[in-house]
Amino acid sequence: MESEKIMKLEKLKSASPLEVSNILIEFELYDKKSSQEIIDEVYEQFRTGEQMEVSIITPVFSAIVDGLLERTSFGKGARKKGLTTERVVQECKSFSYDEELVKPIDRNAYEEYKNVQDSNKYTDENNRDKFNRSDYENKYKMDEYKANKLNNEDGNSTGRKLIEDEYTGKKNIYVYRNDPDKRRNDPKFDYQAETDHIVPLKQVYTQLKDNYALSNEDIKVTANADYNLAVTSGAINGKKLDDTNSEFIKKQGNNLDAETTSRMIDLEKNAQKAINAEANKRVLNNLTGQGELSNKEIISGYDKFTIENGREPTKEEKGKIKLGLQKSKTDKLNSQLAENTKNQTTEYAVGNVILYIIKPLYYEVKDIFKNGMMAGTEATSPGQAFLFRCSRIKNHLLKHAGEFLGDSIGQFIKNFIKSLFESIVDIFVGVFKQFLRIIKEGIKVFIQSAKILFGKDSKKMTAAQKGDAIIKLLGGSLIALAGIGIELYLNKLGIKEPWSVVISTIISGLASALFMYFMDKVDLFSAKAEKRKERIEEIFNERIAEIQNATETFNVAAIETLKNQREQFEIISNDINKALGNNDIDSVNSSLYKLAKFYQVDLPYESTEEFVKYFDESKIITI
Amino acid sequence: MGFFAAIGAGAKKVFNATKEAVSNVWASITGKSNFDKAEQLYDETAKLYESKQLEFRTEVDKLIFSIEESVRCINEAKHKIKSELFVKMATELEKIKDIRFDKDFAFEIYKGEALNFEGMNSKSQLYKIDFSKTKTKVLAVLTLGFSSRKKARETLYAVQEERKKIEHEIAKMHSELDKLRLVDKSLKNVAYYFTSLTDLYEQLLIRLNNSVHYLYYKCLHFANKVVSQGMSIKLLPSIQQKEIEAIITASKILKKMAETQILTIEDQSKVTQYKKIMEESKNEIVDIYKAA
Repeated sequence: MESEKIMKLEKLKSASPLEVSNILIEFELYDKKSSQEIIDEVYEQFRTGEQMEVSIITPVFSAIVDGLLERTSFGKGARKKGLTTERVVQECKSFSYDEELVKPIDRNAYEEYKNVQDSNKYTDENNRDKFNRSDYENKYKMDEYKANKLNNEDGNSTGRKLIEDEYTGKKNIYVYRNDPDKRRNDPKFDYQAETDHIVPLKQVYTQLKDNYALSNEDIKVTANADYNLAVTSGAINGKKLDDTNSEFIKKQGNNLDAETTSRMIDLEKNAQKAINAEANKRVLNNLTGQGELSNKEIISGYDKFTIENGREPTKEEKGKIKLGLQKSKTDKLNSQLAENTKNQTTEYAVGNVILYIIKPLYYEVKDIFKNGMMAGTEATSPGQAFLFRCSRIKNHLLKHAGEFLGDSIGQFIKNFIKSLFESIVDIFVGVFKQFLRIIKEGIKVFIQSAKILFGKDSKKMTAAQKGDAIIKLLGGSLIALAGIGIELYLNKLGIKEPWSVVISTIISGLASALFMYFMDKVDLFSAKAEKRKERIEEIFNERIAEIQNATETFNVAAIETLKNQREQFEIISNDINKALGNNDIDSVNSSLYKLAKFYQVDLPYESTEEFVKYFDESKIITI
Repeated sequence: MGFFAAIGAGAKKVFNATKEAVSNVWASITGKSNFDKAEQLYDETAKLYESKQLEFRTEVDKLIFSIEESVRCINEAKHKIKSELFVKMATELEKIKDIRFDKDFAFEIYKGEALNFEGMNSKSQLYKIDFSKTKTKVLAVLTLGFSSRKKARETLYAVQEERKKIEHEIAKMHSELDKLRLVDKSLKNVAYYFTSLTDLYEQLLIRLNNSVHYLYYKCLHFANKVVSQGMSIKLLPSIQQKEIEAIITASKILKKMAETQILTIEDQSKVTQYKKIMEESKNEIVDIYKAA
């Protein structure tokens, strides 16, 4: 009960019987604020002001800052540690010494993707940063492919000189330079057949060079398979060079007929699909100990055996050597994966520690600026206040260290698993990679939805709140995946890192902020309306309880006071009447003195002697 | 029952059951079930509030009547103290001492606080949707029930909020009633105190009369000493001294009671008017008595 009411009750208990009625009338048992005003205030709170800042301004600002920070190594470093602007701002703002430790918010799919991109660089001792054509071109395969065009499906020669140009569809190119088409004058050998890589070698190299799950041999085999080879005329091949089919068509403009354009586009699409499929197959084989070995690796293995054992390996031993080499390749790949994942997970852990320390620091700095150094410290000097604040930070960190460590270990394991998944997904390519990413994100959404629906906090949430949370979860995940898509699209348009990352970070951040704001505004499941109703009910329940409590306390105090006063009066009155009946004037006077005290009347005398003196000495007695 | 009649009855049952099932599904999809809950809750709340208001008004009227009775009794007692009892006391005592007292007293009027409680908002203020309108049904179908379900839910919430508001008002009513009951009890006590003490004072006045006359005659007997000493109550036996002490003490107590504002301070004009009425009534009674 408020201290003012307690004071008034004390005043009531000690009041004169003549004052009690007024005190009772004036006693306020509840504040006079109108009930409708209370409802209107809550509606207003939920509609405007603070909500705007929390729901739109801060997230938009955070998205822009995060995007711009991608340009800086500091920003990238912070992002790798899970320290995005939104997370730092949100956790610092909501920090309080009294509240329990907050679990770190999950990173979205786009953040995880960016972090893994930074970690998953190829770090083999054979540095793949520079493109060396001879490492990846298989001239033998290319010549074989061209030569086979002179044979039919059975492998027998067709007996014809000219073969079909796979790009133009015309049978007007000849295979061997020393056996040209004599009907045509072709000094420049424009009509000689040449084997072209449909998706240029350099392009395949660029797509796969950072993939540490693929060796140089894997890339070479993938790039030189039949699905990526096409025979065409020297004229076309000479002009196409390292362009893709699409780039070539764009440059040629109207110089190419519709048939050629259509065939080139189809071949390019199919070739890219096949390259992706082959790369994914090789990645899977490498991960599972079935990876293909290069001749160089096999021979090297045999030589090592020979040196160690002083003899050539038998057929069986050769088999074992190959298996050993495959297993060794897989182990190396897995340890690289684990190493990258461990590094990323450690970064997240470091980020959590940094934030754990920053939050109380931010709180104290904010408090100093807002309320002054000494506010809330009970210190007598700024120096003392500073020490108090430092001590408070230290105590908080030590107090929650155990809990933080426990949470951190759990978080470390969770983050390790998540990063491992993302790292594995990242070593695949093409549509399959996006499919795996969607599956991964889907599993994440499924687990989080299950927590919302069945977890320990689910009992506190209503169905509407759960529905709202799940929709936001789904929307957030889709937008995060879209962020990855935007970055890849920008790369295709020629906007490379870091600007593609900056722009896609800003766009996906803005989209996420706007989506959450829109969801709050629309309030599809009326979750906000439900929260508002619960708040109103909570306020009114509290007020009703307060009124009932105050009324009961008031009743008890007032009834007791009235009862005591009445009893006291009855005793005195009976004494007076008895004394009058017994003609005992002494008792009458003694009771009258008690009555005077009861009514808090100040008498100028306390005994008969004093009264006589008072009476005689006063010229006029004023009643 | 004939065969065809039995079939007809069975078909009717199935039809009704199907109709009910379809209605329930429709109600769930469109949110009408929530809307119906809201309607029911609104009607219940309105009935509850009306009955509580009636109870409250009846009880308040009773209590105010009782309070006004007590206040009337207190005012009469105060008037008697100042216009009769003190006059008698002064008349007796002025034989031996100059007694002065103020005839004014603190007049009491109970000015009850205006107890206003908020009423219920009307249905049109609370409801976000009206299922009787065709437009609502069309919108429900077009939005697959999302829009109407949302509005029906929000209507239910608005009515639940209104219900809490009414419960709050009812709690205030109970609180005010309890307070009024205590004020009534307190004023009854005060009225009782006044009545008892005026009776006691009258008894003391009788005894005073004897004491004063005793002193008066004693002083006449010892006139020479009186001249030099004056009418001192020291000359009285101790019992008479104590009688006078008693009346003076009782007078001081009654003065305090008469002059204390037990309730609110009212306009002086109203006090004067009421006193005038009381004075005229008293004089009328005295005249009638004298005539009798």
